[in-house]
Amino acid sequence: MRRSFAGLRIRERRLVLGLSQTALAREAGISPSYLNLIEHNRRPVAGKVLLALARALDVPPSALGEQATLGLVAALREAAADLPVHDPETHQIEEFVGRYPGWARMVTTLDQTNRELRTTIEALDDRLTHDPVLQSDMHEMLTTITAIRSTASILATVDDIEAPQRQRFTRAIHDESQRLSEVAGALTDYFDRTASSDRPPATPEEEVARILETAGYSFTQLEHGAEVEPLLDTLLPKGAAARAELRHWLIRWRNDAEAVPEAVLNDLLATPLDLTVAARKLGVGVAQLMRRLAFRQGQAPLGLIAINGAGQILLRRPLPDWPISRQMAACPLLPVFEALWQPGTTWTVDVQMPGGQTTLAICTAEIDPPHRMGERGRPSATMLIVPDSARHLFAPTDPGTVAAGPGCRVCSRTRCTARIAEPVIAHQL
Amino acid sequence: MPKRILIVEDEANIMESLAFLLRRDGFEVSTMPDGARAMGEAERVSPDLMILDVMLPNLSGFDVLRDLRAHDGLSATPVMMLTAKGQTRDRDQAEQLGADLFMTKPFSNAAIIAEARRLTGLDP
Repeated sequence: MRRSFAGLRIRERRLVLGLSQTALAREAGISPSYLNLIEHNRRPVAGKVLLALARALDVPPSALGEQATLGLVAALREAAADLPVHDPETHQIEEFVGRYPGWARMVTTLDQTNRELRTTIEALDDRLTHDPVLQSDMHEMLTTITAIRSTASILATVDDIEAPQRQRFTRAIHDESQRLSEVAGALTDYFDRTASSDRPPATPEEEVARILETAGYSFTQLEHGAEVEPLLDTLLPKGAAARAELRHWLIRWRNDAEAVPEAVLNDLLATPLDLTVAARKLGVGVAQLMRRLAFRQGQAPLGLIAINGAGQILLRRPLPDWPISRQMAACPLLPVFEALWQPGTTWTVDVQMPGGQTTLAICTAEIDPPHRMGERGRPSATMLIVPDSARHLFAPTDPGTVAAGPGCRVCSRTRCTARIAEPVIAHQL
Repeated sequence: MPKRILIVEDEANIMESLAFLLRRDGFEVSTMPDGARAMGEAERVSPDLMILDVMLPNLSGFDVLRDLRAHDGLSATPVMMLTAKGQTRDRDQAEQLGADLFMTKPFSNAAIIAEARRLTGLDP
Protein backbone atom coordinates (compact mmCIF):
# COMPACT_ATOMS: atom_id res chain seq x y z
CA MET A 1 0.00 0.00 0.00
CA ARG A 2 1.27 3.43 -0.91
CA ARG A 3 2.25 5.52 2.09
CA SER A 4 0.64 8.85 2.79
CA PHE A 5 3.06 11.67 3.41
CA ALA A 6 0.70 14.56 4.14
CA GLY A 7 1.30 13.80 7.82
CA LEU A 8 5.04 14.10 7.40
CA ARG A 9 4.68 17.45 5.73
CA ILE A 10 2.35 18.76 8.42
CA ARG A 11 4.84 17.68 11.07
CA GLU A 12 7.80 19.28 9.25
CA ARG A 13 5.95 22.54 8.77
CA ARG A 14 4.83 22.58 12.40
CA LEU A 15 8.39 22.11 13.60
CA VAL A 16 9.63 24.85 11.29
CA LEU A 17 7.12 27.23 12.87
CA GLY A 18 8.13 26.07 16.35
CA LEU A 19 4.60 24.99 17.29
CA SER A 20 3.77 22.17 19.68
CA GLN A 21 1.22 19.52 18.66
CA THR A 22 -1.12 20.91 21.27
CA ALA A 23 -0.83 24.45 19.95
CA LEU A 24 -1.41 23.44 16.35
CA ALA A 25 -4.29 21.16 17.27
CA ARG A 26 -5.95 23.97 19.20
CA GLU A 27 -5.44 26.39 16.29
CA ALA A 28 -6.95 23.88 13.84
CA GLY A 29 -9.82 22.92 16.13
CA ILE A 30 -8.91 19.25 16.50
CA SER A 31 -7.63 17.16 19.40
CA PRO A 32 -3.87 16.73 19.93
CA SER A 33 -4.24 12.95 19.79
CA TYR A 34 -5.99 13.15 16.41
CA LEU A 35 -3.22 15.43 15.13
CA ASN A 36 -0.68 12.93 16.40
CA LEU A 37 -2.37 10.16 14.41
CA ILE A 38 -2.45 12.39 11.30
CA GLU A 39 1.23 13.28 11.62
CA HIS A 40 2.13 9.61 11.85
CA ASN A 41 0.02 8.87 8.78
CA ARG A 42 -2.38 6.71 10.73
CA ARG A 43 -5.33 8.84 9.77
CA PRO A 44 -6.00 10.38 6.37
CA VAL A 45 -6.30 14.13 6.22
CA ALA A 46 -8.69 15.91 3.86
CA GLY A 47 -11.58 18.33 3.66
CA LYS A 48 -12.21 20.73 6.51
CA VAL A 49 -9.41 19.36 8.69
CA LEU A 50 -6.87 19.81 5.88
CA LEU A 51 -8.09 23.37 5.29
CA ALA A 52 -7.89 24.19 8.99
CA LEU A 53 -4.38 22.75 9.32
CA ALA A 54 -3.20 24.57 6.20
CA ARG A 55 -4.56 27.85 7.55
CA ALA A 56 -2.92 27.26 10.93
CA LEU A 57 0.40 26.40 9.26
CA ASP A 58 0.11 29.38 6.87
CA VAL A 59 0.48 27.32 3.69
CA PRO A 60 -1.94 26.65 0.83
CA PRO A 61 -3.85 23.35 1.27
CA SER A 62 -2.29 22.07 -1.96
CA ALA A 63 1.12 22.19 -0.27
CA LEU A 64 -0.09 19.60 2.25
CA GLY A 65 -2.38 17.60 -0.02
CA GLU A 66 -1.61 14.40 -1.89
CA GLN A 67 -1.98 15.56 -5.46
CA ALA A 68 1.03 17.87 -5.69
CA THR A 69 3.09 15.34 -3.78
CA LEU A 70 2.19 12.50 -6.11
CA GLY A 71 3.36 14.58 -9.07
CA LEU A 72 6.63 15.30 -7.31
CA VAL A 73 7.21 11.65 -6.46
CA ALA A 74 6.63 10.65 -10.07
CA ALA A 75 8.97 13.38 -11.32
CA LEU A 76 11.67 12.31 -8.86
CA ARG A 77 11.34 8.68 -9.91
CA GLU A 78 11.86 9.85 -13.47
CA ALA A 79 14.92 11.88 -12.43
CA ALA A 80 16.32 8.85 -10.58
CA ALA A 81 15.84 6.69 -13.65
CA ASP A 82 17.46 9.39 -15.74
CA LEU A 83 20.70 9.47 -13.74
CA PRO A 84 20.94 6.02 -12.14
CA VAL A 85 24.69 6.38 -11.85
CA HIS A 86 24.28 8.24 -8.57
CA ASP A 87 22.31 5.34 -7.09
CA PRO A 88 19.69 7.53 -5.37
CA GLU A 89 17.71 6.07 -2.45
CA THR A 90 14.56 5.48 -4.48
CA HIS A 91 12.84 3.62 -1.63
CA GLN A 92 12.87 6.89 0.33
CA ILE A 93 11.50 9.19 -2.36
CA GLU A 94 8.15 9.62 -0.63
CA GLU A 95 9.78 10.48 2.65
CA PHE A 96 12.12 12.92 0.88
CA VAL A 97 9.15 14.63 -0.78
CA GLY A 98 7.23 14.69 2.47
CA ARG A 99 10.05 16.16 4.50
CA TYR A 100 11.70 18.44 1.98
CA PRO A 101 9.16 19.47 -0.69
CA GLY A 102 11.23 22.54 -1.63
CA TRP A 103 14.38 20.51 -2.30
CA ALA A 104 12.30 17.91 -4.12
CA ARG A 105 10.85 20.57 -6.40
CA MET A 106 14.33 21.93 -7.03
CA VAL A 107 15.68 18.49 -7.99
CA THR A 108 12.81 17.89 -10.39
CA THR A 109 13.20 21.35 -11.90
CA LEU A 110 16.92 20.73 -12.42
CA ASP A 111 16.17 17.36 -13.99
CA GLN A 112 13.59 18.92 -16.29
CA THR A 113 16.02 21.67 -17.31
CA ASN A 114 18.73 19.10 -17.86
CA ARG A 115 16.45 17.09 -20.16
CA GLU A 116 15.44 20.16 -22.15
CA LEU A 117 19.04 21.24 -22.60
CA ARG A 118 20.05 17.75 -23.67
CA THR A 119 17.26 17.70 -26.22
CA THR A 120 18.35 21.11 -27.53
CA ILE A 121 21.99 20.00 -27.80
CA GLU A 122 21.02 16.78 -29.57
CA ALA A 123 18.81 18.73 -31.96
CA LEU A 124 21.59 21.21 -32.76
CA ASP A 125 24.16 18.46 -33.16
CA ASP A 126 21.80 16.50 -35.35
CA ARG A 127 21.08 19.55 -37.38
CA LEU A 128 24.73 20.31 -37.97
CA THR A 129 25.50 16.82 -39.14
CA HIS A 130 22.25 15.75 -40.79
CA ASP A 131 20.39 18.90 -41.79
CA PRO A 132 19.19 18.00 -45.28
CA VAL A 133 19.42 21.59 -46.54
CA LEU A 134 22.99 22.02 -45.29
CA GLN A 135 23.99 18.58 -46.55
CA SER A 136 22.52 19.18 -49.95
CA ASP A 137 23.98 22.68 -50.31
CA MET A 138 27.38 21.51 -49.09
CA HIS A 139 27.33 18.65 -51.59
CA GLU A 140 26.34 21.00 -54.38
CA MET A 141 29.06 23.45 -53.42
CA LEU A 142 31.81 20.82 -53.28
CA THR A 143 30.70 19.31 -56.57
CA THR A 144 30.82 22.71 -58.24
CA ILE A 145 34.20 23.53 -56.74
CA THR A 146 35.50 20.16 -57.98
CA ALA A 147 34.37 20.89 -61.53
CA ILE A 148 35.92 24.38 -61.47
CA ARG A 149 39.17 23.19 -59.89
CA SER A 150 39.60 20.27 -62.25
CA THR A 151 38.75 22.25 -65.40
CA ALA A 152 40.78 25.31 -64.41
CA SER A 153 43.74 23.09 -63.64
CA ILE A 154 43.58 21.57 -67.14
CA LEU A 155 43.38 25.02 -68.75
CA ALA A 156 46.32 26.23 -66.70
CA THR A 157 48.62 23.26 -67.26
CA VAL A 158 47.78 21.79 -70.68
CA ASP A 159 48.93 23.82 -73.70
CA ASP A 160 47.74 21.73 -76.64
CA ILE A 161 43.97 21.79 -76.13
CA GLU A 162 42.00 22.00 -79.35
CA ALA A 163 39.90 25.15 -79.73
CA PRO A 164 36.41 23.54 -79.42
CA GLN A 165 37.49 21.61 -76.31
CA ARG A 166 39.07 24.74 -74.79
CA GLN A 167 35.83 26.60 -75.47
CA ARG A 168 33.81 23.87 -73.70
CA PHE A 169 36.12 24.03 -70.68
CA THR A 170 35.86 27.82 -70.51
CA ARG A 171 32.09 27.57 -70.78
CA ALA A 172 32.08 24.93 -68.01
CA ILE A 173 33.98 27.24 -65.65
CA HIS A 174 31.55 30.04 -66.39
CA ASP A 175 28.50 27.83 -65.76
CA GLU A 176 29.91 26.27 -62.62
CA SER A 177 30.88 29.69 -61.22
CA GLN A 178 27.31 30.81 -61.76
CA ARG A 179 26.06 27.71 -59.99
CA LEU A 180 28.47 28.29 -57.11
CA SER A 181 27.17 31.85 -56.64
CA GLU A 182 23.62 30.56 -56.54
CA VAL A 183 24.30 27.88 -53.96
CA ALA A 184 26.32 30.34 -51.83
CA GLY A 185 23.36 32.75 -51.98
CA ALA A 186 20.96 29.95 -51.01
CA LEU A 187 23.16 29.04 -48.04
CA THR A 188 23.31 32.65 -46.87
CA ASP A 189 19.52 32.95 -47.12
CA TYR A 190 19.15 29.74 -45.17
CA PHE A 191 21.35 30.94 -42.31
CA ASP A 192 19.61 34.34 -42.30
CA ARG A 193 16.23 32.65 -42.02
CA THR A 194 17.50 30.41 -39.26
CA ALA A 195 18.99 33.31 -37.32
CA SER A 196 15.77 35.29 -37.44
CA SER A 197 13.55 32.40 -36.46
CA ASP A 198 10.71 32.95 -34.00
CA ARG A 199 12.17 30.54 -31.47
CA PRO A 200 11.80 32.03 -27.99
CA PRO A 201 15.10 32.79 -26.24
CA ALA A 202 16.44 29.72 -24.44
CA THR A 203 18.35 31.51 -21.68
CA PRO A 204 18.24 34.89 -19.90
CA GLU A 205 21.53 35.77 -21.65
CA GLU A 206 19.96 35.08 -25.03
CA GLU A 207 16.95 37.19 -24.09
CA VAL A 208 19.20 40.13 -23.17
CA ALA A 209 21.18 39.67 -26.39
CA ARG A 210 17.98 39.85 -28.44
CA ILE A 211 16.75 42.96 -26.64
CA LEU A 212 20.12 44.68 -27.20
CA GLU A 213 20.18 43.70 -30.85
CA THR A 214 16.64 44.95 -31.39
CA ALA A 215 17.55 48.27 -29.74
CA GLY A 216 20.72 48.58 -31.81
CA TYR A 217 22.66 48.49 -28.51
CA SER A 218 21.60 52.06 -27.92
CA PHE A 219 19.19 53.54 -25.35
CA THR A 220 19.11 57.25 -26.01
CA GLN A 221 16.24 57.57 -23.50
CA LEU A 222 18.92 57.21 -20.84
CA GLU A 223 20.93 60.22 -21.97
CA HIS A 224 20.99 63.01 -19.37
CA GLY A 225 20.77 60.67 -16.38
CA ALA A 226 17.23 59.31 -16.88
CA GLU A 227 16.06 56.48 -14.62
CA VAL A 228 16.82 52.91 -15.60
CA GLU A 229 13.87 51.15 -13.90
CA PRO A 230 11.03 52.62 -16.02
CA LEU A 231 12.90 51.69 -19.20
CA LEU A 232 13.60 48.21 -17.84
CA ASP A 233 9.86 47.77 -17.20
CA THR A 234 9.11 48.47 -20.84
CA LEU A 235 11.69 45.91 -22.00
CA LEU A 236 11.05 43.00 -19.65
CA PRO A 237 8.14 42.06 -17.37
CA LYS A 238 8.76 42.09 -13.63
CA GLY A 239 10.08 38.76 -12.41
CA ALA A 240 11.80 37.89 -15.70
CA ALA A 241 15.06 36.04 -15.10
CA ALA A 242 16.96 38.33 -17.47
CA ARG A 243 16.10 41.55 -15.62
CA ALA A 244 19.18 41.65 -13.39
CA GLU A 245 21.57 41.30 -16.30
CA LEU A 246 19.72 43.85 -18.42
CA ARG A 247 19.54 46.30 -15.50
CA HIS A 248 23.29 46.02 -15.03
CA TRP A 249 23.79 46.61 -18.74
CA LEU A 250 21.51 49.68 -18.81
CA ILE A 251 23.15 51.25 -15.75
CA ARG A 252 26.56 50.90 -17.38
CA TRP A 253 25.19 52.37 -20.61
CA ARG A 254 23.80 55.37 -18.71
CA ASN A 255 27.07 55.90 -16.81
CA ASP A 256 29.04 55.75 -20.05
CA ALA A 257 26.65 58.25 -21.64
CA GLU A 258 27.10 60.59 -18.68
CA ALA A 259 30.88 60.35 -18.97
CA VAL A 260 30.87 60.89 -22.73
CA PRO A 261 27.67 62.70 -23.79
CA GLU A 262 26.37 62.35 -27.34
CA ALA A 263 27.39 65.89 -28.31
CA VAL A 264 30.96 65.30 -27.12
CA LEU A 265 31.06 62.01 -28.97
CA ASN A 266 29.90 63.66 -32.19
CA ASP A 267 32.60 66.34 -31.81
CA LEU A 268 35.21 63.64 -31.33
CA LEU A 269 34.10 61.82 -34.46
CA ALA A 270 34.27 64.97 -36.60
CA THR A 271 37.96 64.25 -37.16
CA PRO A 272 39.88 60.96 -37.22
CA LEU A 273 39.99 59.79 -33.64
CA ASP A 274 43.00 58.81 -31.54
CA LEU A 275 41.38 56.94 -28.63
CA THR A 276 44.29 57.46 -26.23
CA VAL A 277 44.38 61.22 -26.80
CA ALA A 278 40.59 61.58 -26.64
CA ALA A 279 40.25 59.51 -23.45
CA ARG A 280 42.97 61.53 -21.72
CA LYS A 281 41.35 64.80 -22.80
CA LEU A 282 37.95 63.73 -21.45
CA GLY A 283 39.36 62.14 -18.30
CA VAL A 284 37.72 58.77 -19.04
CA GLY A 285 39.09 55.28 -19.64
CA VAL A 286 39.83 54.11 -23.18
CA ALA A 287 37.59 51.07 -22.58
CA GLN A 288 34.71 53.36 -21.58
CA LEU A 289 35.17 55.40 -24.73
CA MET A 290 35.25 52.18 -26.77
CA ARG A 291 31.96 51.06 -25.21
CA ARG A 292 30.42 54.40 -25.99
CA LEU A 293 31.48 54.08 -29.62
CA ALA A 294 30.29 50.50 -29.99
CA PHE A 295 26.96 50.83 -28.17
CA ARG A 296 25.50 53.65 -30.20
CA GLN A 297 23.47 53.82 -33.33
CA GLY A 298 25.75 54.91 -36.10
CA GLN A 299 25.95 54.56 -39.84
CA ALA A 300 28.98 52.31 -39.54
CA PRO A 301 28.48 50.07 -36.51
CA LEU A 302 31.53 48.91 -34.58
CA GLY A 303 31.89 45.54 -32.89
CA LEU A 304 33.20 45.02 -29.37
CA ILE A 305 34.44 42.26 -27.10
CA ALA A 306 35.29 42.83 -23.45
CA ILE A 307 36.81 40.05 -21.37
CA ASN A 308 37.91 39.56 -17.78
CA GLY A 309 41.24 38.14 -16.61
CA ALA A 310 39.93 34.59 -17.03
CA GLY A 311 39.12 35.27 -20.67
CA GLN A 312 35.36 35.16 -20.08
CA ILE A 313 33.37 37.38 -22.39
CA LEU A 314 31.77 40.19 -20.36
CA LEU A 315 30.37 42.33 -23.15
CA ARG A 316 29.85 41.75 -26.81
CA ARG A 317 28.52 43.52 -29.80
CA PRO A 318 28.76 41.18 -32.78
CA LEU A 319 28.81 42.40 -36.37
CA PRO A 320 27.40 40.53 -39.38
CA ASP A 321 30.93 39.58 -40.47
CA TRP A 322 32.14 39.12 -36.91
CA PRO A 323 29.81 36.86 -34.99
CA ILE A 324 30.96 36.57 -31.38
CA SER A 325 29.83 33.52 -29.48
CA ARG A 326 28.41 34.07 -25.98
CA GLN A 327 30.06 30.85 -24.92
CA MET A 328 33.74 30.41 -24.21
CA ALA A 329 34.57 29.45 -27.76
CA ALA A 330 36.64 32.38 -28.89
CA CYS A 331 39.91 31.95 -30.78
CA PRO A 332 42.88 32.33 -28.40
CA LEU A 333 44.74 34.19 -31.15
CA LEU A 334 42.34 37.15 -30.97
CA PRO A 335 44.39 40.17 -29.88
CA VAL A 336 41.98 40.96 -27.04
CA PHE A 337 43.61 38.15 -25.08
CA GLU A 338 47.08 39.50 -25.78
CA ALA A 339 45.90 42.91 -24.57
CA LEU A 340 45.48 41.48 -21.05
CA TRP A 341 49.27 41.34 -20.70
CA GLN A 342 49.69 45.05 -21.39
CA PRO A 343 47.30 47.05 -19.20
CA GLY A 344 47.40 50.77 -19.85
CA THR A 345 48.35 50.38 -23.50
CA THR A 346 46.08 50.94 -26.48
CA TRP A 347 47.21 49.54 -29.82
CA THR A 348 45.88 48.55 -33.22
CA VAL A 349 46.28 45.41 -35.28
CA ASP A 350 44.74 43.99 -38.44
CA VAL A 351 43.11 40.64 -37.72
CA GLN A 352 43.16 38.26 -40.65
CA MET A 353 40.50 35.52 -40.64
CA PRO A 354 40.91 32.14 -42.40
CA GLY A 355 38.92 33.35 -45.42
CA GLY A 356 41.51 36.11 -45.97
CA GLN A 357 39.35 39.06 -44.92
CA THR A 358 41.09 41.54 -42.63
CA THR A 359 39.51 43.76 -39.97
CA LEU A 360 41.09 46.46 -37.85
CA ALA A 361 41.04 45.82 -34.11
CA ILE A 362 41.82 48.41 -31.43
CA CYS A 363 42.74 46.84 -28.11
CA THR A 364 43.17 48.13 -24.62
CA ALA A 365 43.37 46.67 -21.13
CA GLU A 366 43.04 48.16 -17.71
CA ILE A 367 43.14 47.11 -14.08
CA ASP A 368 39.78 47.68 -12.41
CA PRO A 369 40.71 49.22 -9.03
CA PRO A 370 40.10 47.21 -5.86
CA HIS A 371 37.19 48.20 -3.62
CA ARG A 372 39.11 47.94 -0.35
CA MET A 373 42.62 47.61 0.96
CA GLY A 374 44.05 44.13 0.61
CA GLU A 375 42.03 43.30 -2.51
CA ARG A 376 43.80 42.94 -5.84
CA GLY A 377 42.85 44.96 -8.89
CA ARG A 378 41.17 42.91 -11.62
CA PRO A 379 42.37 43.10 -15.21
CA SER A 380 39.97 43.41 -18.12
CA ALA A 381 40.56 43.92 -21.81
CA THR A 382 38.41 45.47 -24.50
CA MET A 383 38.70 45.15 -28.27
CA LEU A 384 36.92 47.44 -30.69
CA ILE A 385 36.26 45.81 -34.06
CA VAL A 386 36.43 48.33 -36.88
CA PRO A 387 35.05 47.18 -40.23
CA ASP A 388 36.40 48.84 -43.38
CA SER A 389 33.31 51.06 -43.58
CA ALA A 390 34.33 52.67 -40.24
CA ARG A 391 38.11 52.77 -40.58
CA HIS A 392 38.01 56.45 -41.57
CA LEU A 393 36.69 57.32 -38.09
CA PHE A 394 40.09 56.56 -36.56
CA ALA A 395 43.47 58.20 -36.88
CA PRO A 396 45.64 56.14 -39.22
CA THR A 397 48.22 53.94 -37.55
CA ASP A 398 50.61 51.33 -38.81
CA PRO A 399 49.02 48.15 -37.53
CA GLY A 400 50.73 44.81 -37.85
CA THR A 401 48.73 41.76 -38.87
CA VAL A 402 47.73 38.82 -36.73
CA ALA A 403 46.04 35.62 -37.91
CA ALA A 404 43.00 34.48 -35.93
CA GLY A 405 39.79 32.54 -36.47
CA PRO A 406 36.19 32.18 -35.39
CA GLY A 407 36.93 29.47 -32.76
CA CYS A 408 38.37 25.98 -33.27
CA ARG A 409 35.06 24.18 -33.84
CA VAL A 410 34.17 26.24 -36.87
CA CYS A 411 37.64 27.27 -38.03
CA SER A 412 39.08 26.02 -41.31
CA ARG A 413 42.66 27.15 -40.62
CA THR A 414 45.04 24.23 -41.02
CA ARG A 415 48.31 23.70 -39.17
CA CYS A 416 47.28 26.10 -36.40
CA THR A 417 49.42 25.59 -33.32
CA ALA A 418 46.72 27.13 -31.13
CA ARG A 419 44.09 24.57 -32.16
CA ILE A 420 42.59 22.69 -29.20
CA ALA A 421 39.56 21.06 -30.87
CA GLU A 422 38.83 19.59 -34.27
CA PRO A 423 36.28 21.38 -36.46
CA VAL A 424 32.79 19.86 -36.28
CA ILE A 425 32.55 19.46 -40.04
CA ALA A 426 36.22 18.77 -40.70
CA HIS A 427 35.77 16.92 -43.97
CA GLN A 428 33.66 19.60 -45.58
CA LEU A 429 35.96 22.36 -44.34
CA MET B 1 46.58 -2.32 -75.62
CA PRO B 2 45.45 0.73 -73.57
CA LYS B 3 43.82 0.21 -70.19
CA ARG B 4 40.06 0.85 -70.16
CA ILE B 5 38.37 3.11 -67.59
CA LEU B 6 34.63 3.52 -67.08
CA ILE B 7 33.64 6.79 -65.43
CA VAL B 8 30.17 6.73 -63.84
CA GLU B 9 29.45 10.35 -62.92
CA ASP B 10 26.35 12.48 -63.46
CA GLU B 11 28.09 15.86 -63.21
CA ALA B 12 28.80 16.59 -66.88
CA ASN B 13 31.65 19.05 -66.31
CA ILE B 14 33.47 16.79 -63.85
CA MET B 15 33.02 13.85 -66.20
CA GLU B 16 34.35 15.82 -69.16
CA SER B 17 37.48 17.01 -67.37
CA LEU B 18 38.19 13.53 -65.95
CA ALA B 19 37.70 11.90 -69.36
CA PHE B 20 39.96 14.50 -71.00
CA LEU B 21 42.73 13.97 -68.43
CA LEU B 22 42.61 10.18 -68.53
CA ARG B 23 42.46 9.99 -72.35
CA ARG B 24 45.40 12.36 -72.48
CA ASP B 25 47.27 9.98 -70.20
CA GLY B 26 46.67 7.11 -72.64
CA PHE B 27 43.60 5.44 -71.16
CA GLU B 28 40.60 4.35 -73.19
CA VAL B 29 37.66 6.06 -71.49
CA SER B 30 33.91 5.31 -71.49
CA THR B 31 31.43 7.45 -69.59
CA MET B 32 28.02 6.85 -68.10
CA PRO B 33 25.92 9.49 -66.24
CA ASP B 34 23.28 7.08 -64.88
CA GLY B 35 23.67 4.54 -62.05
CA ALA B 36 21.00 2.18 -63.37
CA ARG B 37 22.80 1.79 -66.70
CA ALA B 38 26.32 1.53 -65.26
CA MET B 39 26.40 -2.29 -65.03
CA GLY B 40 25.25 -2.67 -68.64
CA GLU B 41 28.08 -0.39 -69.76
CA ALA B 42 30.57 -2.27 -67.55
CA GLU B 43 29.53 -5.59 -69.15
CA ARG B 44 29.98 -4.00 -72.56
CA VAL B 45 33.46 -2.54 -72.04
CA SER B 46 34.92 -4.80 -69.26
CA PRO B 47 36.88 -1.92 -67.72
CA ASP B 48 40.25 -2.23 -65.99
CA LEU B 49 39.04 0.43 -63.53
CA MET B 50 35.68 1.92 -62.66
CA ILE B 51 35.57 5.49 -61.33
CA LEU B 52 32.25 5.65 -59.53
CA ASP B 53 30.44 8.63 -58.03
CA VAL B 54 28.37 7.92 -54.88
CA MET B 55 25.38 10.15 -55.63
CA LEU B 56 23.96 9.09 -58.97
CA PRO B 57 20.49 9.27 -60.49
CA ASN B 58 18.32 6.13 -60.39
CA LEU B 59 20.84 3.87 -58.62
CA SER B 60 23.45 5.00 -56.08
CA GLY B 61 27.15 4.34 -56.48
CA PHE B 62 27.00 1.96 -53.50
CA ASP B 63 24.30 -0.10 -55.25
CA VAL B 64 26.35 -0.20 -58.45
CA LEU B 65 29.38 -1.34 -56.45
CA ARG B 66 27.32 -4.08 -54.75
CA ASP B 67 26.11 -5.33 -58.14
CA LEU B 68 29.63 -5.21 -59.55
CA ARG B 69 31.09 -7.25 -56.69
CA ALA B 70 28.31 -9.85 -57.15
CA HIS B 71 28.87 -10.11 -60.92
CA ASP B 72 30.60 -13.30 -62.08
CA GLY B 73 32.83 -11.75 -64.72
CA LEU B 74 33.39 -8.26 -63.25
CA SER B 75 33.69 -8.79 -59.49
CA ALA B 76 37.47 -8.20 -59.44
CA THR B 77 37.28 -4.83 -61.24
CA PRO B 78 39.15 -2.16 -59.20
CA VAL B 79 36.84 0.67 -58.12
CA MET B 80 37.71 4.26 -57.21
CA MET B 81 34.75 5.93 -55.49
CA LEU B 82 34.16 9.68 -55.68
CA THR B 83 32.06 11.64 -53.26
CA ALA B 84 31.57 15.16 -52.05
CA LYS B 85 30.72 13.82 -48.62
CA GLY B 86 33.99 12.83 -47.05
CA GLN B 87 32.23 11.51 -44.01
CA THR B 88 33.31 8.41 -42.17
CA ARG B 89 29.96 6.72 -42.76
CA ASP B 90 30.30 6.88 -46.55
CA ARG B 91 33.91 5.83 -46.39
CA ASP B 92 33.10 2.85 -44.15
CA GLN B 93 30.28 1.76 -46.43
CA ALA B 94 32.52 2.01 -49.49
CA GLU B 95 35.19 -0.09 -47.76
CA GLN B 96 32.69 -2.72 -46.63
CA LEU B 97 31.33 -3.07 -50.14
CA GLY B 98 34.84 -3.56 -51.50
CA ALA B 99 35.89 -0.20 -52.98
CA ASP B 100 39.63 -0.05 -53.61
CA LEU B 101 39.92 3.69 -53.08
CA PHE B 102 37.76 6.53 -51.83
CA MET B 103 38.48 10.01 -53.26
CA THR B 104 36.85 13.06 -51.71
CA LYS B 105 35.80 16.01 -53.83
CA PRO B 106 37.38 18.41 -54.50
CA PHE B 107 40.32 16.27 -55.61
CA SER B 108 43.39 17.20 -57.57
CA ASN B 109 43.82 16.07 -61.18
CA ALA B 110 47.31 14.79 -60.45
CA ALA B 111 46.00 12.56 -57.63
CA ILE B 112 43.31 11.08 -59.87
CA ILE B 113 45.82 10.27 -62.62
CA ALA B 114 48.34 8.79 -60.17
CA GLU B 115 45.69 6.60 -58.51
CA ALA B 116 44.22 5.50 -61.86
CA ARG B 117 47.69 4.38 -62.96
CA ARG B 118 48.29 2.55 -59.69
CA LEU B 119 44.92 0.76 -59.72
CA THR B 120 45.36 -0.38 -63.33
CA GLY B 121 48.86 -1.69 -62.65
CA LEU B 122 50.75 0.98 -64.63
CA ASP B 123 53.89 2.74 -63.46
CA PRO B 124 53.02 5.90 -61.52
